[in-house]
This record gives sequence, structure tokens and C-alpha cells, in this order.
Amino acid sequence: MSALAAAPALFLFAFAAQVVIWRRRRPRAQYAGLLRLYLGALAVATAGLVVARLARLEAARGLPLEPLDYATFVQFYVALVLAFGTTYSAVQADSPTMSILLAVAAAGGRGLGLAELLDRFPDRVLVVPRLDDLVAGGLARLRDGRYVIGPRGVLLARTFVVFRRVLGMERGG
Amino acid sequence: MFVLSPLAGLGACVAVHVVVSRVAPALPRAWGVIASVLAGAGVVVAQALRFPHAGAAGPADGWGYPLAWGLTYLALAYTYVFGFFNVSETARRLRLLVELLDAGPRGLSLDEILGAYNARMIVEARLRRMLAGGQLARADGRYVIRGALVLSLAKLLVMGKLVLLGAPSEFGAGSPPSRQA
Repeated sequence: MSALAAAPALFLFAFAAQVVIWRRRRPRAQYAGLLRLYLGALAVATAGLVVARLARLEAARGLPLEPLDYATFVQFYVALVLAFGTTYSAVQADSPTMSILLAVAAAGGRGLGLAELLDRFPDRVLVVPRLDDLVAGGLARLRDGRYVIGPRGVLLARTFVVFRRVLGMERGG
Repeated sequence: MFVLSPLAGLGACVAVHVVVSRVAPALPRAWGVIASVLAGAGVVVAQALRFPHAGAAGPADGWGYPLAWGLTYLALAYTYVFGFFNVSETARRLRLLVELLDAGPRGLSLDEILGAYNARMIVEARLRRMLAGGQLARADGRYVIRGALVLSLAKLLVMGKLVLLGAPSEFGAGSPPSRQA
């Protein structure tokens, strides 16, 4: 049962590559970059496994070469990448909840009042960078000073609107 | 088909979440999430208990596969809860997209967007949630730390930013250099 070790190992290898690449040249479309990197690592690993199986390499005995092992490996690896991608959104963009907590903690026992928090977290910190993300990610475009949703943005927004309706919940944010 | 048990578990998790949300809308949302994740885990465990007797693997592999599938399910459930449900609940980008969707092809100016969704709304909503969740308390009209768990997570995320971005905040990391990944 090599998938149990192989999937986390490949994930850690791809993560190490990401650290090196991101520190040198972080892509502007970060999620597209993440997808290419982590799926690329899976493609390279799969090619290596095919070669190892065809060549019947003795050293490859511990690798997920059998169908059940390989399916478990791919599924586990993709799940790890998805979970990491979810967490990465809070690394890539400052979470307001986390930022508020850190600011209140830094203020010590006296804490912070609402006015101080609003002063620290204005629209240009909480809203404008996220609009920039939408434009940079191709989900919206800025035309004559107006933000207009793009086709991919429509698809994404409608998916979540339908999801919220299915759950019977109001608009989030 | 045992290999698909994490996906079956995820399906059960989502289905139970929908049912609980619709049948008991007054239930705290965290409880609905916990119930649905446990329901999905039940499906995976039930499959895992059957697997060693199915003859699909040798004795040495009998519990290795179910363990891998269990961990796969946990990662998928985490993705559903934090990457999908929580995003629909709190994500600013998504909220902005929905505002732009409602505006149609004419779009919105920055002032119009800020009229519908702005920093004050974002901060006040988070403060309400953190007061209700016990992360913050209010004393003499000021907000102070009450719980340490989420604060520890926030510090962990700062470490992640330092590793990947080289700065403790997105504003210290500078803009990415190009649109090309």
C-alpha cells in the first residue's frame, strides 16, 4: 500500500517547488499557476510510474504501480492539492477575520474599538485588492471606470448563487 | 468500487448538509457542517469495514487502503467546508462577483460597488461572527481577545505567508510581476 506514502511525498515535492518558484517569481494568476504546477507534478510522476512498470524496475517495487494502488494514490494526491488550494486563498489574500484578530491581539488587554478597526481596515485594504484580483484572474474587466463581470465570472457567481439557494441560505459575504 | 468510497462519503456529506440546512434553518451552521461531515465519514467507515473481507487486497494491505481513503475523505470534506461552503458564506471576491452579476453588462463603478458592499460591512459582519463564536469579547465598547484557537490559526497563516510570499501580509509581499503564470 504505497499510495499512503507516495501521495503526501509527491505533494511535499510539489510544495517545495512552489516555495522556490513563488519566492523567485510569483505568478499574477496564482491559482492557474498552482494548478499547472501540482497537476504537472502528477503528470510527471505518472509518466515515471509507467516507465518503471514497463521496465519492471526492482527499485520501483514500493511505488503505486498496481491499478488499485495507483487509483488510491491519484485520488489522495488530488484531495491533498484541493485542500491545500483551499487553505492557500487565506495565504494569498489577507483574511479580514484573521487580520482583525491579529490587530486586536497586538493591541493587548486594552483591545480595539470599532472606529480604530475601521481606520485600520478601509475599503482600499478590504475591497479594492479583491476587485483587482477579479480583474487579474479574468473574472471581471475594468471598462471606462466600471467593473463588468466576464463569462467565467458569471459561471462562478451563478454556481454559488444556485448552491446558496439549494441550501436555502441568503447571500453571503 | 471501494476506491470511490471517499467520493461517496463526500456525496453523503453534501446531501446531508443540504437536508439539514433546509429542514432546520435555525440550527447553528457549524452544527449542520459537523453533522454532514460525520455522515460522510460514516459512509467511508462502513465501506472500510467491508474492504478487508472483500478479498481485493492481501492481509498486509487490509487497512492501508481504508486509511488512505479515510484521509482522502477528510481532505475532500475540508475542501467542501472551507473551499466551497465557507467561501459562499464569507468570501469577498464572490460577494463582489454576485454584485457585478446583478448589475449586468453595464457593470458598476467603484463608488456604486462600495455603496452595496464596503469595509464597514465586512468588519462589522466579522466582529458579529467572532463575538458569537467566542473568539472576541466586548469590554467597555472595545473588542478584546477571548479564545486562543483561531488566533493560533491566524499566526500559523502568517507563517505560511512568510514561507510562500516572503512577507507577513499580502501588502508587504508586493504585486506579482506579470500576468503570466
